[in-house]
Amino acid sequence: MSLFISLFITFMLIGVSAFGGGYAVMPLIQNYIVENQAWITMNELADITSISQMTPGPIFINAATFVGIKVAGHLGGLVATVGSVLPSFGLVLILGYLFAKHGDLYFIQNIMKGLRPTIVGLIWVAAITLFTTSLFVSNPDGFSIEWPATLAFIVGLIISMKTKWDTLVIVLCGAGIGLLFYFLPF
Amino acid sequence: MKKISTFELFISFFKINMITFGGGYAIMPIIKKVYVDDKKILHEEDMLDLIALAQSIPGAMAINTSMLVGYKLRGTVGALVSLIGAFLPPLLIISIISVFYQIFQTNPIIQAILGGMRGAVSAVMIYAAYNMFTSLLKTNRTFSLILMSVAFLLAWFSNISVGYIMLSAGLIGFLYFGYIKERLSL
Repeated sequence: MSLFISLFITFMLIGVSAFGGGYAVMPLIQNYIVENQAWITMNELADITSISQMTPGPIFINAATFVGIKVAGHLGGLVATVGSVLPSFGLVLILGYLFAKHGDLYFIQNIMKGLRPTIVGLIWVAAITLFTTSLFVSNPDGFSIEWPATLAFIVGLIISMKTKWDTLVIVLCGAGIGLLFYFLPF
Repeated sequence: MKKISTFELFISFFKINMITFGGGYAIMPIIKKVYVDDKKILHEEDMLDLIALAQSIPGAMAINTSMLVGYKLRGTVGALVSLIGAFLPPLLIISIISVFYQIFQTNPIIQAILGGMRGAVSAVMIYAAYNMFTSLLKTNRTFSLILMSVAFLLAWFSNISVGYIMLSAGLIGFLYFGYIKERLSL
């Protein structure tokens, strides 16, 4: 029982301090989970990182689930994951309320006018990063093109532009293209 | 504003978080596509404001943004169902993978499927990011273009934390629209 509580609290603490999202949380996980609690090794942390790059979902959630399961089974995974999202849930309720009430204040709108274009710039960084890491693989000679991912990209782009298809369907088309390439004889 | 049922909120965030690779800002264009372009429930500016709020809360950006959208559309219950919808896919996926993650990392068929999915997701992201870019330029064109480019370049080439970039952008918006713009136009 105490193990569940300590999982819950540890991931809640990381959840409170994990500003910035994405890989910004990795040093915290290393500090709390690998060094203080010794629940996983550095190698396992590296495994979580690479699995997170392959699978959907935020790395913080992936890490919480993975560590929880390793320490205390599947229930542990659930406990750690719930702990990790609880602080931000509370803050969302507070901030969401305040913003709904005071968001139209003149100075807040001015701050937002500065933030909106900045966010679009940051989104472009994320989009181009995923684009390049998915379509190109670096190797000693420079880089090579991942043809299945490239074809999935082109098909996905055409569908996005021409249709109103559900995003899930577009991604499943990509999965199908990947599978097709695997079974084709070249 | 159009109404959305809590069930639809849950399903849509479940699907979005099921297919979004990369974490952090990578999920934003997908949420924007679903809620602004497809469902037409949120305005582009609402979306960017929620992302800015999500950035100011610790924890995973994808989860925070999901909760904030839920809160804006359906209050506290909306935030809760969006949270559950958002963290269930990574929880389930990692629960399964943790059992046999050696196989997962090396199995060529799984790798082929994931490769195709990543290609398709990049297409959806790039197209949504392009739409955000064009609609951003409709107001405060020069200001937005400069801020977006600077944010992109800083995030791409420097190690400056995203938090600092956002903080500076908010301050610039506050000063420019509150004090500087009027004097320039005199």
